[in-house]
Amino acid sequence: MLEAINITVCVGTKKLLRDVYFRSCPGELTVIIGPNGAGKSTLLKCLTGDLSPSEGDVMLDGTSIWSVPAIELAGRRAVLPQSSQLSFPFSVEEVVMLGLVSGRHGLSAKQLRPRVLEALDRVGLMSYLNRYYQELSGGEKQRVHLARVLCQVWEPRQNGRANYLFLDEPTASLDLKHQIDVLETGRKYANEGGGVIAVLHDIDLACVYADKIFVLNHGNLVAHGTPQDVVTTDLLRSVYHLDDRMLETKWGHLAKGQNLGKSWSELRPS
Amino acid sequence: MSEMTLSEAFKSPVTPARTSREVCQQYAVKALTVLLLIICFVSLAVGPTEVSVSHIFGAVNYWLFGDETALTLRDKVVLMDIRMPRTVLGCLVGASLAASGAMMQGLFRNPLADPGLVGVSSGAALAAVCVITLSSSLPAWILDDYSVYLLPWGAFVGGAATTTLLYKVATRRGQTSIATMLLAGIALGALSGAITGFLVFGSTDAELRDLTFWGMGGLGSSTWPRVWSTLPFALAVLVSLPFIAKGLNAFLLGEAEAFHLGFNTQHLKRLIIVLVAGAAGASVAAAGAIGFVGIVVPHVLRLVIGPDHRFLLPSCALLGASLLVAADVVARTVVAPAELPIGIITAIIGAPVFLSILLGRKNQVQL
Repeated sequence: MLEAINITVCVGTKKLLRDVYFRSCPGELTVIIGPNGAGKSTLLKCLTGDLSPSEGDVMLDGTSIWSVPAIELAGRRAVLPQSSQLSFPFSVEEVVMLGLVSGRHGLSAKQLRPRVLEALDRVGLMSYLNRYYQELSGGEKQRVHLARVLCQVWEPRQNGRANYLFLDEPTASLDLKHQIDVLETGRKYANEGGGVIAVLHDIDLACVYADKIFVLNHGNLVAHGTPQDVVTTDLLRSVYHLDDRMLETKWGHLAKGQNLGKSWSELRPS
Repeated sequence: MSEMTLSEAFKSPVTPARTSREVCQQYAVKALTVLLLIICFVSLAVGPTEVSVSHIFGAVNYWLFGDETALTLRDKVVLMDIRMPRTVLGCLVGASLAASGAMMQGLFRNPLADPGLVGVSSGAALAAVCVITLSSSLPAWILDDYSVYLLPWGAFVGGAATTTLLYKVATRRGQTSIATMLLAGIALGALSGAITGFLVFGSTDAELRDLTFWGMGGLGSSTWPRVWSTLPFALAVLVSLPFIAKGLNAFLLGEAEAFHLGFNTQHLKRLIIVLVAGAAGASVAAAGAIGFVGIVVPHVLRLVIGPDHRFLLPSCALLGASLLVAADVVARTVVAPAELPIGIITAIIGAPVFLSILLGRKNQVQL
């Protein structure tokens, strides 16, 4: 279990997060939503160990994440970045192989090659193996990185403990099909016993795929729970400042149902 | 993922043929070692004094095993006291410059970073000039015995200070801006140049002669003590290459990504800064400011064997050594008996390559 216990993050005099609680359980896909500047990325950075909160602690299976060495942490969690610049002519295969630079568990590069191929297959880029990474489109690059982080924490469960997959706005540069593909991949990872934590802007997708949703606003945790319990039109009005016209434009008749989370989770693929 | 899917993947029909890049990676180090040996041999053979081929082997034999049977006294002096230290120093400086260039490009995640361009070398040169002009006030016993070692250490401190300053200036919130870095490098280079000029203005004739050497760059004053004073810095870089290669690969994705992949990025960054400063400092101390080796060699090799540092770094060291020794051979033969500054040769090769990187499509550089 990955838990953030009442963390506060200050930068200068500004509080980016105030007393925020977060929990991700193995087997669950947990989604963090909130308007721009709500502190989603800051929370994610604390959970991945990039940023040390001013107060509070992040616990991975009961141990403070700050006491876990980077190399060990790399075997337990992988992070899909929002975007990644790479100004060197790596091939797609080499980029995916970078996911295997640590935490190999004694396996050689040759033994791990099938994993690279399967990861690329899973993101639908098998035929891109020998292409230059720099020649790909933004969405394709994102999928290459998804394959890379999948390689890094290949087993959702290992030695009785869950591994964690972090997806920071994974759908931002993807077309509709691949948005669904990446969340299906996350869903599958969670179903096999891993923990998945995603920051999403698309509330519809969040409701369809999430087990739990955490809503941040102005650095505060304003709601958390299942999509049915959390995502209501009232919440959207208060957190995103949407008026009736906007709600109607985006969701039409669904908005009148008051509980978007419930409507959408009924669409969840079985 | 279960065992079964892994074995299925083994049987997967999609097993692409090995790419030419992989083949090149395999043979690069061997081929470049042969190239370096040939160029070193040429460097020993070529010069104003004719030396027979058998005497060159005799000299190598003498150097390695102390057997001087196959050597005349004249050739022993020419080879052992002039050409051998010059060749060895060329190898050390070339290898250090190319490897530290590749390391710095990895650290800054940009193929245009080079100790010479971003002012590290000029910082090191400034420190070296300080050592030369200020050392006259040191006690004589230090000067007699240690002056040759003072220079590389001074240049190392200057290089380390400049690299750290550059990284601090160019990095905001974990993102290193290459544009800021190049511009800051220009500013630091100008500042170092100004202070250097000021020091030169107030120096004595003897000091002036020493100082002129820095502006030109060259292996003309190679001696064994100079080789020994450069050796530890060059060795430190060469020995560390296999240990930092994987970390540098991860670093190319970004600093946060390297941490996510399990590397202690702070340690890695400091280590690279120290190594680059050491290599650039010792090179500047030994041979003056020689530009472009650190850009040309990694760039050319990346085109052939790709950016994977496990293969790139050792190949850079070998090709850098070959390039510098070859450039030195050209520098001391084209206008013989005079010598061209070696920086002229490397700039003639290097500047067009630098421009071609900017123009190149595959390696689009984002400032």
